[in-house]
Amino acid sequence: MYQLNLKRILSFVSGVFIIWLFMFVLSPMLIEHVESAKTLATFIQQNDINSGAIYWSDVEITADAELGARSTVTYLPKGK
Amino acid sequence: MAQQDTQQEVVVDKGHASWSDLIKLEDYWAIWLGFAILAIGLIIYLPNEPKNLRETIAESNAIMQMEANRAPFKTIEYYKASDAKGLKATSTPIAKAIKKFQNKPHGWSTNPGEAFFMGSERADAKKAKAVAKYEKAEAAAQAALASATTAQQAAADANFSDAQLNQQASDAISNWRNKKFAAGKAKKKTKVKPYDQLTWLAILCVALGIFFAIGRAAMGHSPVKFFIGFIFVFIVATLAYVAAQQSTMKGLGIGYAAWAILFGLLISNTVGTPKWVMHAVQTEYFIKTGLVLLGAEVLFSKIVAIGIPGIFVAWVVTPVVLITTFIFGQKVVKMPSKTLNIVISADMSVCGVSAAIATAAACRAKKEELTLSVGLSLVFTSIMMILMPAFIKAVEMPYILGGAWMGGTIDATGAVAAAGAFLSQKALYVAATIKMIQNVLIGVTAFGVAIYWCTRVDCTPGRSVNAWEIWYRFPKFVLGFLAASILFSWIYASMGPDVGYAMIDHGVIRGFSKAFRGWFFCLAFVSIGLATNFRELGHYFKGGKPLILYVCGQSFNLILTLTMAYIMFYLVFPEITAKI
Repeated sequence: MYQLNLKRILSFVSGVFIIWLFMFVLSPMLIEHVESAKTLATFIQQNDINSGAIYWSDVEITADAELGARSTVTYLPKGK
Repeated sequence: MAQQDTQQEVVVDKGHASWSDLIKLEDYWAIWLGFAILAIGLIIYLPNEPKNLRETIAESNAIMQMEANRAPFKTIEYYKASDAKGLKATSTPIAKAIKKFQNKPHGWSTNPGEAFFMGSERADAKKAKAVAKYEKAEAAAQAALASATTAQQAAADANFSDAQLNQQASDAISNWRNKKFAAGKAKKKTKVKPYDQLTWLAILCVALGIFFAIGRAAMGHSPVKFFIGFIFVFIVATLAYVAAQQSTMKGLGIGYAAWAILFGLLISNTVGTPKWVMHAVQTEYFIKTGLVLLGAEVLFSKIVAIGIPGIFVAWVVTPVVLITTFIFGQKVVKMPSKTLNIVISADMSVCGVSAAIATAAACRAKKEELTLSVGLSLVFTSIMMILMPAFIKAVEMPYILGGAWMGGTIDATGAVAAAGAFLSQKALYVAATIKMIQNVLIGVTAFGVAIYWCTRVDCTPGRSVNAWEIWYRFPKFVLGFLAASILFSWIYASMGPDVGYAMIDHGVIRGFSKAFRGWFFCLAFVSIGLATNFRELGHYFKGGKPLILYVCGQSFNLILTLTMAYIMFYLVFPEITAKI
């Protein structure tokens, strides 16, 4: 029983360690070494974009997009 | 008919109907709870219009109309008027108080404690740093504005009849808008204030625990046991948000859904989910309530107003890819599970996690199937979010075409917005617009899948199904989802797009229901993880068929979307494309 619990706790701790490794070692390494990932990640951080959002209302900048797109459709610049 | 003993596995309904179902069935409780939140949101926001809202809108629209008639491109005055009418009900004092209560853990980089607390000293230091950055960004924006003003004046002096001068002015104005966007974001960061989110999170936990416990009690379960277990589920959900708010994870687009499932899986497959927690592991209850709230965000009337070319791209390509991928999965890949097949098809073709949730609930997919679909979607979203903008830049594809391509193919809305904004503001407009139009398809997809499953999949082969049987089998929460969508679309339309933008989009939805919906989905994903055996998950992945289906479907999606985007934006509606 004791061994079983210990094994489970060790598995849990290993899992937590892997997550920590992914978050603080592997991911920063990936961003550092893949140029396109680095540029995009820096852009996302600078502009505080919720890139993990699952719906349009979760992302603030969709509001800008909507205003812009709606303006184009409603008041399409035609000039004289 | 699905049976009650499979309640923990799939979304089910009993095989008979009675009036007592209205207070005993989970589907109805999802509707009541969802509509209670929406009603409270309407009561709070509708009487609290921002000052001079309608006057400002009328004034701005008059200027935009005048400018649209004056020049063949969007002038500086046109943009300023457009910005001025972007008033929001979320800027009212009551909205700010609500935000404190609903807020998720804050963003952080190396110190997770900052997700919950920030002292005044640290806040001041961050503010000082942000102010310096903002001043630099603002100076760049002002310089760009000065250049744009000069270029526009030159075009105006030529009576806007010199194409070269017009183009130069348009480009200079676009440059100013990009700089202004950056300055706006930098300005937002200067508003950093000290916070103690932990207290608010504790209050939110109690409030949501009681909220859901009421429904559980009515359904004949112990509300006390539910509430105790709920505290654990809520804590794990909070940790999922904390992980998603870490700056590197944000940069890679790894959101709360992935962390919630992962943390749940880690607990259940190592130390095991405690028995007392299982009372609150109510995946379907949380998902269905969240989906009813999501219904309010499916605004058909908004879509009509924002873009004809986008409607063609999203509404032609998406159903074609969805149906083709489903058939391909059945006939070629020979997916053993129809539900897994349709959930993967929907999350890949419609809009990722949100579509997967809605479709899984509509066809009563197993939790493992939803987990697998969401996992696939999240992995490919991160990859595509990084690779697609890089590819578009490398091949020098026009950004508007690139934006349309990404909007139609990258699953998650957040990733689409990030990748689009990374290219340019115009690419963001197109990408986000197409994704928003696709988002609306969730309702149609969920309803269509629910009907198809009731009439064709869940019935005895060769036997016709009468209307009553369809009603028995139909997941009732879908009606709540559709009702919320129709009601909010109607309110939005009756207000008009500008007032609707301020009062519904940036009021009831973004200022109230959206945050609850996010929490409910997060709680659902934690519950999925807490109830899933990793080995069972492996069984569904056997032979790599889900991966093959996703890759084939997404490849088809990429080709078809790019083709349709080119046709719509460059052959059918070039005049709109030129003036976005």
